[in-house]
Amino acid sequence: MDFAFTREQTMFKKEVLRFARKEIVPRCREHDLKETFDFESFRALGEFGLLGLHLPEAYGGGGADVITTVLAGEALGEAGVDGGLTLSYGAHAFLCADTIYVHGTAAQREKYLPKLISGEWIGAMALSEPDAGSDVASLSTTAERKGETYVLNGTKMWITNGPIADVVVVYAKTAPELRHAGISAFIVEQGTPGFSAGPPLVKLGVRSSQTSELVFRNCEIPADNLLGAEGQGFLMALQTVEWDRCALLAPIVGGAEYALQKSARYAKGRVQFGRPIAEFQAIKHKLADLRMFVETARTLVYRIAWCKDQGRPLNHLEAAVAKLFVGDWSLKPLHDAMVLHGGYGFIHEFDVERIFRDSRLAPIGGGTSEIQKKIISKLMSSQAGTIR
Amino acid sequence: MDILVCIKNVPDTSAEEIEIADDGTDIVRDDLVYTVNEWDNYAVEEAIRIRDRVGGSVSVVTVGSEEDEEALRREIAMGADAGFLLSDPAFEGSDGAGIASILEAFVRKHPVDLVLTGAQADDEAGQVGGMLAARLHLPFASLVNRIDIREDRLTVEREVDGGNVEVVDIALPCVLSIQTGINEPRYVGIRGIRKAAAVHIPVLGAAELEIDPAEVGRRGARVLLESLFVPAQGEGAVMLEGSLGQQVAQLAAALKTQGVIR
Amino acid sequence: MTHPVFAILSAGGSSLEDTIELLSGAASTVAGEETSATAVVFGAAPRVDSACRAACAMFSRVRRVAHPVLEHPDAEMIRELCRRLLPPAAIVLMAHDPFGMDLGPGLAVHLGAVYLPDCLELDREGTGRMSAVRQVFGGQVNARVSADVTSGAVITVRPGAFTRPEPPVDVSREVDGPSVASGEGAGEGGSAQAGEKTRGVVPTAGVIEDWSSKVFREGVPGVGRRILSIREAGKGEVDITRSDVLVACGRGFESADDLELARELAEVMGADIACSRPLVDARWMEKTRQVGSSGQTVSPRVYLALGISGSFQHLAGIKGKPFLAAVNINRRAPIFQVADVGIVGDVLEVVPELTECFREGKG
Repeated sequence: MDFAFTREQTMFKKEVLRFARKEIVPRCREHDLKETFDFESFRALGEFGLLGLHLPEAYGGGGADVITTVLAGEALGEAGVDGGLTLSYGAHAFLCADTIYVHGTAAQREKYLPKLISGEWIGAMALSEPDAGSDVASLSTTAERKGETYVLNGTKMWITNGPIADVVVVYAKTAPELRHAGISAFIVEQGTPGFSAGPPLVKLGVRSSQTSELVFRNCEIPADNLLGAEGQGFLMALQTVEWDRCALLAPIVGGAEYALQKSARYAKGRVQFGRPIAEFQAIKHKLADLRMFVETARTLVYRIAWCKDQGRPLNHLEAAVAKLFVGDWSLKPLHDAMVLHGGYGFIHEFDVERIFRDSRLAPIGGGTSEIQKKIISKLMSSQAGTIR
Repeated sequence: MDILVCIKNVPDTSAEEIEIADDGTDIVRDDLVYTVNEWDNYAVEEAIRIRDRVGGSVSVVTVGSEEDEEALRREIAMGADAGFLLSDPAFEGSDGAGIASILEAFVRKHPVDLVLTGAQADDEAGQVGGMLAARLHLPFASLVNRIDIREDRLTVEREVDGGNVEVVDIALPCVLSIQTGINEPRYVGIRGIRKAAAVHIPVLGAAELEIDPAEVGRRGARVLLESLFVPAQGEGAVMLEGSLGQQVAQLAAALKTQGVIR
Repeated sequence: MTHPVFAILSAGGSSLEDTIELLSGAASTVAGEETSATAVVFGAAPRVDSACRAACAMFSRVRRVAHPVLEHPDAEMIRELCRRLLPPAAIVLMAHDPFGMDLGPGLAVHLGAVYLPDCLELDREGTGRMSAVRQVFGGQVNARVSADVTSGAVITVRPGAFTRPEPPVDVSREVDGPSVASGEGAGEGGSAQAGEKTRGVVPTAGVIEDWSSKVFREGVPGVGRRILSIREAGKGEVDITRSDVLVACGRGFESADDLELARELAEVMGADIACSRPLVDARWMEKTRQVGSSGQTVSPRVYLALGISGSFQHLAGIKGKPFLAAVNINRRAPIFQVADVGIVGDVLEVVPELTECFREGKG
């Protein structure tokens, strides 16, 4: 058992912090406020090498292991990058590009990966539907084979990067009569006739990311755009859960670390009743709770990353615990961080309210807290729940 | 062109409120993040660009301890070809002249065409480059913000008073101290870091460099740090208090009293 | 042992009067009772002569070193000439400016002297030792250092740190100057004599000794460097050197877009926008807007420093003691050491509020 980061990992984290603080963070507040996507920052992420960090160098990626990749995500949050941009990055890199890499043909990889890795193209994944969120098997979007094409029909909902995506990995049923086994995955490019995106949704948090519904109306795509084989879609979607439970949670953990650093500094400098508020027990407790959240969340998230690096299959109980913990248990400490800042905690310039708002997606997106509890209780009573 | 860049690993204090340690001769360094001195980073970037243009090699060197190896590795990840850590218990406590003499010993063993340093580091002295040049009997130019190569000579531009620029012709080999703004230093990516991880960084001590330990370090230092202290604020400085709104109102009133917006 | 004190001046340097005052102030601090300082002026005629006359106002002895090759103050050349001219164990003073920074460190090596850069305060500490106060870590902290000066010292002095000493109470001068003595005749002996006569007092007119032929007897030193030209700084669309009120922005602004906030404030204040070096390095502002030793020298009535730490290089560009207001997130920022009024806070919060304050006040 080894909990230490390598020298290279530590060095890289430092560099991500340096890069993000200087090139990305200064623009975050404005984009969060105006709910606009920061294309410039996104391309900067590509240029720096984050968008394809975990993908092979042959496609322009960084060839990094999972832990390093998760560390980079954590560093973005810790630097003060808003959750909107890190979510867009996560959906792009892990839910879209990674799926194309893992399941795509050589031709598909060649065509899409270099441009996704550089940031020239933006990727998205379209799974959820208005009536199919946690219940993936009940998808109603269909893909019907017609000669050398598939014809897609249906509506997707809550699609991160939906309005701005150039490439979307779409899950649709090729065999509607089957449940999980009838789902297949396709690559759909922006501009394909019959494919349209709705206007961006107004959200509580992660506001700079663009979320919308996607509509497919007799949308005809080449049969070559099928990812993997028909009927494999559910397993592909499940595979993204591994990334979701480490790389997509990491920026939230980093954001909490940032809130902690800000709170500690504020408490030290803010003098009330003749002494820094950091000397008051109530404040000390808040800071200790926040530290406890950060450390525990970090341990859970990196354990999942470590397992993936080791080639171990995802332990769904652990994954559910991590997701549930980051989602639900961040509520109180991040709320406290906001309150600790007094009036400043409630205004936009201090970032703690933004971190609080951004974190509220964690109990919802990528599987709600209720579903995580359901998974945990189900697996606890079976062999699959044993921690290996 | 073979270029050597002398770098220093320094605590990043730009956004930190520095505290002085109890014994009064150092700052509290526990929470500070170390990074390559900003000026040095510009110098390394410039060296890499010159090498990429005309060929040759870039080496980075620092006088320090084991922890400072990371700074060398970062600059190798950025694109430098080799790094050297000059480290020896005898070097500890060196003053600027001591550092310059250690570097001199290194350069005599590893001759190069061009030596670059940052214009200054955390001690804000700006001394090592000029001292090193004098010890090596090489020409020197400080505060350089442009380098053009003309065969065996350089045309460099120095920042002088009033935003003026001194255009200087200087023979190679020479020593230059580099000013910020000469270029835009690149960031280090994962591939660079991975490549740098495999590079062996030799550690050279007094014996390898044939330095008399009595000449350097605390024993050889003729300039000693007595104490650090927080400077007093100016006599007239009124630090405004109260809520942000109150402070701003007071500031606006003060500015108006001074006749802003008549 | 007494250490002869020398102040090195370049006739071609900018703000010569200020440098003379600075070095005479520093010299009177380090010279002590037993000696007085000698100014050495390097340059080409005719500028060198006016510089010598100016130096005479504050130094009892002035050595003139004139040669056409000294038209531009090339530190490499002057360093070699200094080696020919300075006696052993001298205390050598110069300004911590681009000339002094070029000249000083190498000169210390060649003279076997210690180097004390960028000194704010200087004190003699008995025989053979001297202490100095310098800024370190971005000016947040000061350091007191002590040095063994038995083999001499080269000291660069922070511009503005020393002022002209108090006027003499007991003027008993026998030398009426300025007059020009021969370099051949006036050696160290002559200097010592003059030192006797001006002990403890500040001369108002010194003797100019011409050392040109003596110093150049061995010919012009061969150095590996030559100044080709001096390129004057261009003037921007707005000449901030003529501005009455300046709103100056520094590193506290995190992006080019945020500068818009400062522009709005400047507009309601009727001010011009200036900046510190990092914003020019980041290519967010034109060089012509930069205040500082490597930028413009300004003399406004009011100077509002926003997110500027206040490095000496920046402060060196502010002349004429304006009303200085500062906003900085770091209470230790050196700008607060010189400001008249200060707010510890984030410029991104303070600036919009301040703009609003002025708008309301106006309406």
